[in-house]
Amino acid sequence: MASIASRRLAKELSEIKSEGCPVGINLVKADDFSTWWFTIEVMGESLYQSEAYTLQFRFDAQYPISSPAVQFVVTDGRESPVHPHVYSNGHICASILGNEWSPVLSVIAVCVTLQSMLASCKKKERPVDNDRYVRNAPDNPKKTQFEYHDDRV
Amino acid sequence: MIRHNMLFNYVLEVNSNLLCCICRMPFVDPVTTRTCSHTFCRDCLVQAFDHARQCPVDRSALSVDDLLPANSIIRSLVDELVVECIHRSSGCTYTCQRQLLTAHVMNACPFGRVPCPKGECSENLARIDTESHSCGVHTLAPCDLCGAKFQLDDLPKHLSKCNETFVTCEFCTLELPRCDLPEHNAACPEARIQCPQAPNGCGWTGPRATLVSAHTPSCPYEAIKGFFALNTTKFARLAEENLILRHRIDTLESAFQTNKRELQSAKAALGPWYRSDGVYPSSVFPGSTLPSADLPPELQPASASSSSNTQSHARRFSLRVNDAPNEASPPQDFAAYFPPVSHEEPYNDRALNQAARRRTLPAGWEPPTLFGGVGTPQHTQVAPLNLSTTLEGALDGVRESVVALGGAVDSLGRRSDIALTNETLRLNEEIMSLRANVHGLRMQVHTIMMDRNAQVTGRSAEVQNFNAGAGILGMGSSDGTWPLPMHAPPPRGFYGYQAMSPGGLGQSTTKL
Repeated sequence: MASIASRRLAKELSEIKSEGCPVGINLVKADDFSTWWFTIEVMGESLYQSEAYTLQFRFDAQYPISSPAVQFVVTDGRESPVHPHVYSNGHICASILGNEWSPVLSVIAVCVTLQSMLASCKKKERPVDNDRYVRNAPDNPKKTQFEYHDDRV
Repeated sequence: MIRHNMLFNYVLEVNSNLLCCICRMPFVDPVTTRTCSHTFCRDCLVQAFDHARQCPVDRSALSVDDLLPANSIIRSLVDELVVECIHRSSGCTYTCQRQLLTAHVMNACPFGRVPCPKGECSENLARIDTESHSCGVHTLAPCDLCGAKFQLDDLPKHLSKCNETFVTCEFCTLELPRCDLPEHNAACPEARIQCPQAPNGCGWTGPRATLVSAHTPSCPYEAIKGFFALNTTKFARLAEENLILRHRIDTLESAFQTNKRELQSAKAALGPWYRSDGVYPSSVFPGSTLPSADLPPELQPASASSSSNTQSHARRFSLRVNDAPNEASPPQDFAAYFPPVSHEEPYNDRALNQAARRRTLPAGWEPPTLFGGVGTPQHTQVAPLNLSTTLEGALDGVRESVVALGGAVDSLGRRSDIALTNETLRLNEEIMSLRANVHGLRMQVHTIMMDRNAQVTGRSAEVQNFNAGAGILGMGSSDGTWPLPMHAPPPRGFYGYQAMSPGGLGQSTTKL
């Protein structure tokens, strides 16, 4: 992995370790600079109260210029939240992970955004095309061309 | 130039305002966007443009043309951050400002990579290793005997072998080992040698064997060998002597140059008093020959003033030179004994011109005697600058002139004081008389006014007999020094006037 990405990730990791994560977000593992796991929990009144989900970040050599591949972990007994923008295979339809990614965003910023996405959910349901997508979905959610049609949540 | 952040290790915590939000490191070559004023590393932003042509912070559209170099304050702040040397892992503990690190790595760092200093191999090696670097495989050294090039390590081996090689003498065709060749060349009878008298001019060369048998008896130089030896010694001695003499000439020349320069500066300092012929006017130092010089000025013989102008002129200076210690005597006393030298008098053409140029005061100048009779000398003579005497004499003359001028200024001042006092007194008297006149006039005017007031207010004065109009009239004259004319009868038209001014008494009063 290129040094730029690893230096940037090392910096983010040291900040996480020195300053801690925001409330409801916890680092599970960050053994290398390719895959990190976080748990996120929605605080306060919401449909996902007292439910914890695991987020997986995968970084490539172009990080932070290119976005990380972010999805919910659905193995080892973990599940993805039931949400209009989250597929059952853990893939997330969120513009900041696709064409609205900006290099100034960071891992923690993505976590907080997804946390607030869950918190603002009104109705627990899968996306309408969930079954069709999950059947054909690639392993890496970055290879999916999402259409960001719903900007309410 | 080290441009990329991944190479820098910052010694101290860096202010978070100086961090690029893309790489989260201090800016390197920072640029600021023209439209939204966000700052990034240039490389980071250009890379981000590959992803999306927008500002990473606010997502506004951007192009490379919208990037301006960041404010120089920001540039300086990040350029002056202290970083570790990039060869820290190799052992260099040097730290310096980021902008100076390139120079350190290029020029000084013991672990910086430099090309082979001998230029014979293409290896890049750490600067610290260049001393021990031998370039072994590439360095070639020539053999002293056969001229062939060998690697440095192989040379000793080659030399021993080379010495054993048989070579042929070029004169006698004898074959012998190379190590014996010099010895053989010194003795080979066939070797061509020069006549021993070659330095003296003999052009013979031939085989060594024929030198003694054939050439030496016939060589004309051999016959006068003793003469050549003598000559050579003599030449050597002369050359040596020449060398010493040349040395002395050099020394003398430099001394002469120094003297010349000193003379030049002395000449420049002397100015017009420099005499190239060294002849000064004989009357410059006649002090002891002039008995009259010792006499008080009052006892000078009258002939001094009747002598010719040039003589008196010169004598005056000589007199002053001799009297220099007696500065106390006022110079005006001397001046009285010499006729005033005006520039109309033809005493010397050259001196005339110079006098006209250099005179500070006209020769015939007399102090103004406005209020005469103060008792100071009527005219103080100022001599023209005398160029025909020595510098010292001229200086003395100038000093005397200054003293005379001082005296003249002093007496002028005193006269001015007296004149001023006199004038002030006179003016005082005049002012006094004017004041008296004014006072008289005021009295008269006052009388007239009182008359008029008495006419206007005549009736009320009669009615209020007691206060006699003083308070009513508003004159404020409680001191009673002004005459109050109470007896004047009212004018004829008084009642009519009173009828016409209904304002009453107060309005018709007149204040002085």
